[in-house]
Amino acid sequence: MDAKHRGASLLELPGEALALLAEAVLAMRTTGDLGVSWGIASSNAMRALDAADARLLRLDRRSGALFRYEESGVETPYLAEHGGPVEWVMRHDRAMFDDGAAGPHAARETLLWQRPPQALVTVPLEAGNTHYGFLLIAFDAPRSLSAPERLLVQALADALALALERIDLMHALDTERARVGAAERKLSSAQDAASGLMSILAHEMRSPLSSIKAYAETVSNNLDNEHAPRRRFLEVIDEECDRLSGLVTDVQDLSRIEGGETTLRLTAVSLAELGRTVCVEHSDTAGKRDVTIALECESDARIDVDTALVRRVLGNLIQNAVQFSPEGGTVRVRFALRGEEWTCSITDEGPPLPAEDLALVFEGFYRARRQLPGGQPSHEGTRLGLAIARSITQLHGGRMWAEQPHVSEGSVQGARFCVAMPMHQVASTRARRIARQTAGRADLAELFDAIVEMVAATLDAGIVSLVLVDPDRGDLFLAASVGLDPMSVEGRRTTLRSGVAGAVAAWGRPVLVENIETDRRFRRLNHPQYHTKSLLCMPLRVEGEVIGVVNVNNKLNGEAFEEDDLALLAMLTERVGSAIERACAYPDSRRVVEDALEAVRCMTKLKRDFSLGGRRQMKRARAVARELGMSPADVDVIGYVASIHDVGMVRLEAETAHPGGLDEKQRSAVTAHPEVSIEILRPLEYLGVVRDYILGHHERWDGTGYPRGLTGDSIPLGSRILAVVDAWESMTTPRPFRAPRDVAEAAAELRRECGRQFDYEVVEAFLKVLEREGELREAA
Amino acid sequence: MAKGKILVVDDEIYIVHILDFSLGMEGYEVLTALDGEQAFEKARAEKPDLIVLDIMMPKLDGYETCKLFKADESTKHIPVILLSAKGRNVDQKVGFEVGADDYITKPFSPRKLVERINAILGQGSAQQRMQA
Repeated sequence: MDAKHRGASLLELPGEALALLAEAVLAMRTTGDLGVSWGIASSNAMRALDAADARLLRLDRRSGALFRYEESGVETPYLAEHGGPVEWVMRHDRAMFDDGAAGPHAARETLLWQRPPQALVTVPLEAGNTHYGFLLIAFDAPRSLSAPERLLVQALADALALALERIDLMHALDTERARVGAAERKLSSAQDAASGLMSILAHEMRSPLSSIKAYAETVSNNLDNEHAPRRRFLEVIDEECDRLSGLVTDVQDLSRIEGGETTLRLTAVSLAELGRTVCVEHSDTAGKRDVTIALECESDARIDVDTALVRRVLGNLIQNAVQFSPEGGTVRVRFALRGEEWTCSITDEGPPLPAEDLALVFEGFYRARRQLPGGQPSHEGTRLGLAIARSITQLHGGRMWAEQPHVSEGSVQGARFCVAMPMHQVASTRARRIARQTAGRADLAELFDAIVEMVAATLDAGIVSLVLVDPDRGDLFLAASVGLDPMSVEGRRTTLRSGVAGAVAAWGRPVLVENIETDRRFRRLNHPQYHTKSLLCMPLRVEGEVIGVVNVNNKLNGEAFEEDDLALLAMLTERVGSAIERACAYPDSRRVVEDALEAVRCMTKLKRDFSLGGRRQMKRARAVARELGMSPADVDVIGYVASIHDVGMVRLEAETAHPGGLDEKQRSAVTAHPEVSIEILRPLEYLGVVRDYILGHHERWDGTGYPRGLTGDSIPLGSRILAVVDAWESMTTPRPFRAPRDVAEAAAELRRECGRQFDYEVVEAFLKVLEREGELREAA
Repeated sequence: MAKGKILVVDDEIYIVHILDFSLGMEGYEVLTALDGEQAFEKARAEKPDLIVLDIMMPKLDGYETCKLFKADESTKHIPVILLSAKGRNVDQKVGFEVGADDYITKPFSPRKLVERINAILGQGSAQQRMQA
């Protein structure tokens, strides 16, 4: 509590305010339902302080996400305002009393309120050293709280925190009950293992205890014996106490890691720096045994790891190697990159590690059959060191193994311990926090279903799935799919992370696999459902973090996917990501998701019902753009626009399907379609150039086009390309009201229209592309 | 003049050191070994009067080592005191099955161990005197 109101007393409050406070606290103590108690607490607080509004933000401790709690018991995710009071309170861990002096436009979590507050109180809700959320009280006019009033707010916050704590405990209890149910089945075998571990643990603890007891007794029996090395005896006792407490810590850590209670705090570090730090940390202990640590680092790439935990992994391995090294020996520590993994191997020159022990060394309390060199105590670190190292490695999605280093033929010497971890982690804390905001939202679930449908329609794919980061577990789950047999989807969860999707999520880079059976990266048996063997896999980013992956399999014509398809998928996925980003930023606005949903559904319809903007057009438009020397980014934009620019036609459905000419009303509807397209795509689109291209694709070189009547070079190049590609498509494919023309005729028509409808250069480039693709040859 | 020769076998170097000191103060000559194989070699070469043997050791454990002693003509008469962190009766039973003469659980008091050793060796020497 602030120093300012330490001397104040609640009794200085007016009687009515006191009564209101008492009523609120009592309500929270007696009601088990948070919604009810929050309702009473908020209305009483507002009355006692004459406030305009109040909000309760609940902090989810596992994900770090904030939820706005409503009286109805409904929670909606909330993103704290950047530089706002909630952020400040979180950082300083004390209440903030904003009296309004900062002016009417100061940051006051605007999205929480119907009217922007003019003064705001933000109080952390804490019980038993745990942070449960925030209480916010808003005022319509600048308002400075008196010291007793601040006490009132604090008392209310404490009562709320206790109520939240109780709910948290109930929740934990429920989860625990569910877990117990599932665990009971496994129990009998686990019990054996546990009792085995416990008995070994008991033994492990008894060793240092034996020494302590023996040395303590000997010291006390030899208090007057000057020949007894009493100081040395006391040092041994001290050492053994350290060993004992180290053991206790290790057991705790191991059970925490294996019990899934440890979450990674990922940071990006340079591999070289990590190597140097770890080696320096252990050079002293090594030096005592005259052992040299030789570091070799092939790369200084940046990797995502929990630095503290990984230092422990490497430290344990180095310690182990030093312990087994002969005096004057060398421990070689070698860092390298292998594919998308970083590896570290630690080789010692000690006695050989028996082949049959290679797999056993990582079991808790494995007792080395390796002989320790020359009479040193056998317990530098506990025997849990390797087991802990392996658990941490697995937590990073990595592997750890032991091998026998190859020395000259047949002779085995020393041991090598190796670690391999992915350079980048699937779900950073931030990605999980973002994913948390999307979890459980019905509107987003609907959007996800529409998205996979749209991607399947746009890319002619039989199977599309959207895989998202699980905010609780940090792994991936299937959020939506089309074309997958639901039965086979069950239980895929575990394989997702180890499969292509997991790799793509971790690397953050898209993958085009032409043949899964021969692909060096993912060689494995092809699943019978994916009979084409070719697939696309694209990371889905929101706010720069990978929160999922879009998988596309089974091209309907049975061909392999190409780079063009991958580029189009990238453009689509970026737009999906921006829609999700917006949905998270405005969690309370239904419009945001509804508009995006409408856009996505129109895109699907455009392909399914109108067969417009097919892959052929997309590829031709890209080829022409490349031919004209446009940058790769522009080529991607053109391909995307070629695929979706006619989406406005979906709204004009009834009017255009007639054979014969169009009447005036129909004509005006058709000429409006570029604008309708832009309107439909607005919730997904953030590039101005996309809008420009779409808007201009019915302009004509001579200025007689629509909607703006631009001429020549003032029409965007992208639009000029689309005009030619579209004209070709409509001339050469059958339409309800027109028979198709043959290619020679169509090419002649294009040339004739140069300078009138089309840009000469674009037509030339287009015909060159067709020539190269062999599409003009059949006519010649 | 040494009261007798005692072989101490334990892979915990600190236990070996403290027994070396305690038994040395008591006037015994102390031999040490850090594992079963080493112990067997020393026992055959040096013919100790008594062996203090830890059960939990890498490679050859205390039981196996004890069996070796009891199976070998040159060492079978040497009394063996087993030292173990395992306090359960089962271990004690197995201990006597493999021919151990006494059994002490860790953590132990060095003074009591010395008393046991004195008792066993005192008894042993008394018997020898009667036979003589």
